[in-house]
Amino acid sequence: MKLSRRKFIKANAVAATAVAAGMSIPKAEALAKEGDLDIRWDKAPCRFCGTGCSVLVGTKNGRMVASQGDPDAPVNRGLNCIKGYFLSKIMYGRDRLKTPMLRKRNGKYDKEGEFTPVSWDEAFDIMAVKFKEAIKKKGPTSVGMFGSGQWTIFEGYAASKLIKGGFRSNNLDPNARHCMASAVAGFIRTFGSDEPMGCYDDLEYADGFVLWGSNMAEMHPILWSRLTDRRLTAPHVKVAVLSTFENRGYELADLTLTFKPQTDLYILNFIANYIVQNNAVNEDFVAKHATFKQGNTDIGYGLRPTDPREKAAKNAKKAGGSKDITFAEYKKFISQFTLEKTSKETGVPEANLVELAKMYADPKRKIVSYWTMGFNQHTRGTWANNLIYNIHLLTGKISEPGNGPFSLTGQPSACGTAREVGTFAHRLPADLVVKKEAHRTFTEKIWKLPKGTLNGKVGYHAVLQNRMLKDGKLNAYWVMCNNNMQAGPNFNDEAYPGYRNPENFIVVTDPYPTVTAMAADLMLPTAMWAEKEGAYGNAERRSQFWRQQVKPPGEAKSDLWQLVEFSKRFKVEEVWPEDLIAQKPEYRGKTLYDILFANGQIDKFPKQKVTDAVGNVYDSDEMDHFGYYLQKGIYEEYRLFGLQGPKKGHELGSFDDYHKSRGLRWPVVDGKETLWRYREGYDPHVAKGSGIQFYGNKDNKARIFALPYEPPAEMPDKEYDLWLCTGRVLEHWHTGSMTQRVPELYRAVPNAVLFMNPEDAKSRGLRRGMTAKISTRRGMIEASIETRGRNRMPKGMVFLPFFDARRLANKLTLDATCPISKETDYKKCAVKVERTKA
Amino acid sequence: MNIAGVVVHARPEDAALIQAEISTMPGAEIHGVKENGRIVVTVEDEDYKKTSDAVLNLHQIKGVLSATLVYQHCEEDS
Repeated sequence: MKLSRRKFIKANAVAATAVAAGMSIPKAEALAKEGDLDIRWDKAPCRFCGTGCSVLVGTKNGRMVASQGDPDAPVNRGLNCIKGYFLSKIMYGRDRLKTPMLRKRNGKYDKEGEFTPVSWDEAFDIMAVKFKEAIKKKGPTSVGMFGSGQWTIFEGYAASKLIKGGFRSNNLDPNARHCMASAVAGFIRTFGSDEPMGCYDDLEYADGFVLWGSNMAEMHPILWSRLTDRRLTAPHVKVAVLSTFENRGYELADLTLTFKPQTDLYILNFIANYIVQNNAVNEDFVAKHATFKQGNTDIGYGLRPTDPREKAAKNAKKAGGSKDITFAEYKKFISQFTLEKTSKETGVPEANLVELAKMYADPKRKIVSYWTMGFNQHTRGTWANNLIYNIHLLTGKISEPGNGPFSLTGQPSACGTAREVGTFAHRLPADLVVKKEAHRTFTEKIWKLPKGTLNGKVGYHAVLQNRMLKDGKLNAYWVMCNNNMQAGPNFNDEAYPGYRNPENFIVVTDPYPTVTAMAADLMLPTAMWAEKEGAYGNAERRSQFWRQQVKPPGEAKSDLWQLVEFSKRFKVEEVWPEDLIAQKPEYRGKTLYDILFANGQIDKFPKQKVTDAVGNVYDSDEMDHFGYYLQKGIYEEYRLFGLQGPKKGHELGSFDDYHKSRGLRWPVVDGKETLWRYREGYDPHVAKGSGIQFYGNKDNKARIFALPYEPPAEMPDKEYDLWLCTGRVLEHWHTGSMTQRVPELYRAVPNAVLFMNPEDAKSRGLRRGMTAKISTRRGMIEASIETRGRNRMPKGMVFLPFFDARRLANKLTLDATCPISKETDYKKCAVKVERTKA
Repeated sequence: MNIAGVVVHARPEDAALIQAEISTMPGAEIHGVKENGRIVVTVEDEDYKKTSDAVLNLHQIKGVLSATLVYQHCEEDS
């Protein structure tokens, strides 16, 4: 009897699931082999978080119909998290944008007009007029772009070239500013080079895991399942979870520490002090590989300079400053962080603090520290990052299997695109920065630009962009691949007035009409994820490529197409001064497209057929349009920064290698990836006999920083008497612009609810399920109260997810940032919760 | 037709209780259990919504440490 299709699909599901679970179910395996599903399978990294799971994408008749965890992927070994279930659905939401839409009245652009479908020509015409007008009137700093850690590597590179190289503006920043900037600043300050030294292989080598402000169980479920496996199969392994409220991670934890907001700075310093007091310092390691510094204190909160808190801060303008100190001076500094004081300030019992400190101090226990937004979205986020490195450096527990500090990322290419390509306002590719002349000169050489094209002044970062829009200094603005109106802080006072300022022209490129797109003047429809060829870089330095699997709908075009095509609209004379052009007379009369993209490097790979190992043929819409292999050209030019650039240890493999592999972790030297950076035997850049070299710094040493506790920008008081923390939930990713389009997911978790302690609710006359008025000094929203469920709040603290476009958490938040990293603190502000009048 | 394959991970001592709970869920079927607490589950239904609800609910069973998806397939019945 012929096997029914249903039975056959089910057998495939069972067989694949059994393999991933390490089991054999022969009956299903035999059945699965009997037929052919008539599906084309190809690999692609998942489009959601920064874990970088590989997914097998199943397409049939030009549509994605199935997905499975990629059994050959070292990251996820055949597993996917729940969001993987919806990958095949996010591209097919009913309200996909299929044509450019311009605000028009009486047939003409009008900022107060209605969104009207227009052609790409008309869209780019008005955009070009507005960008040229701004540059002519106020210079390059009046144009800018807000990009993304979800951009492909190619897209981030093209954007950086267009904005920094073409328009000569450094006002390019990614949404990764909101999630990873403190980790970046911490890495650079301590090690002189961005990104973790270790990798996910540490999960199977460590004897202990410490989670600092990371709900890994819900936000990085695949890594959590590897951690769970390690914990359950090796009974000596210990898991400690630190948070300001109880999350799902507490269920597995052997040790939990629920601390008062901001007091993690006490705990970090206490552990260092405990290590010193108990003679647990790895003296040899510290003497050879570290130096000590005292960082500036009283550094403010990154608010507007007119804010009284900024005026009062002594070092607001020198936030990143520091001076050298001795180990003895450092020891004296941390001696103030006693057990008694730390317990009193944090609210954590002394026994729990000691147990945690012992995990780090025990020389026999290998430890990995993981963190996400609890550390990074922090007005002292850079400090928190520096302080965790202190602990790993004092004990020498770093850069080897099972030992190391590791910052997890929330976006699929926060590392690969935002950080490595350098789409921040201060960065260039491969750890280079705009303020260093040697770095600009090198970049100009690779980009074939006249000397002096690149601007040496750091551009506007994320929060500053919104302020400058409001102040009318940033006038032509392109937002791509993010939903910053919903995700950015202080919606009412800064973001919305900025977008709607009559002096400004705002373009938003997105697959869906998000809150941000609806606040724009022009919406551009884009291809998403597997509708284009792409590449992402995950949190463990692994770059992964994918082929175009399906066609985008309607007139939608990829971000890459849009960036490159738009550059054709600018004659060099319209954007560059004469003295630059005079250096390269051959550029006279050329367009930015000719100079930046058809430059003999990017256009040198001719059109070809894109195929996989078994001969399936794939589309490449960009190659068809531009007439050459655009992605390959961009990648091979970008790669020169790692191969020839002034910063050591950023080599990448070749374009073709990545299409064949399940990703490679950089530096890639002689085709080999690097699992542990800075360690002899693993990292080819470390000199023989030296053991360890933190070669991001010229002296090959890392910095241990003396940094104290300082209070947050706003704390609960008599009127606004609770702490507000915002964040994510398992089912929705970030602002929900994709996951809210999946009807069943929307139905399962349609509304953001306010998680609250039952006693706090009761004392305000509230019960579970009732609607409450939630207000801060900046705004008010209503949401219903949840006193049970996955997040259990201590008294005095509430949690609100930010995915819900109808309940904008960021009407409440304050735009206070870490003054060094400029990353917003979304985890702490003062809020009032009241019963609504019936 | 909607079919999903999920690995549910529990502490070995909780696995029996969790299995019992899963077997009461409509459309869910257990295909194997490993001594380390891993359970191979499929969830199927004509209604995509019910399938996805069931997958989400696997996470919410008390004692489940993680529920990870391995395979999902959805297509119109021909």
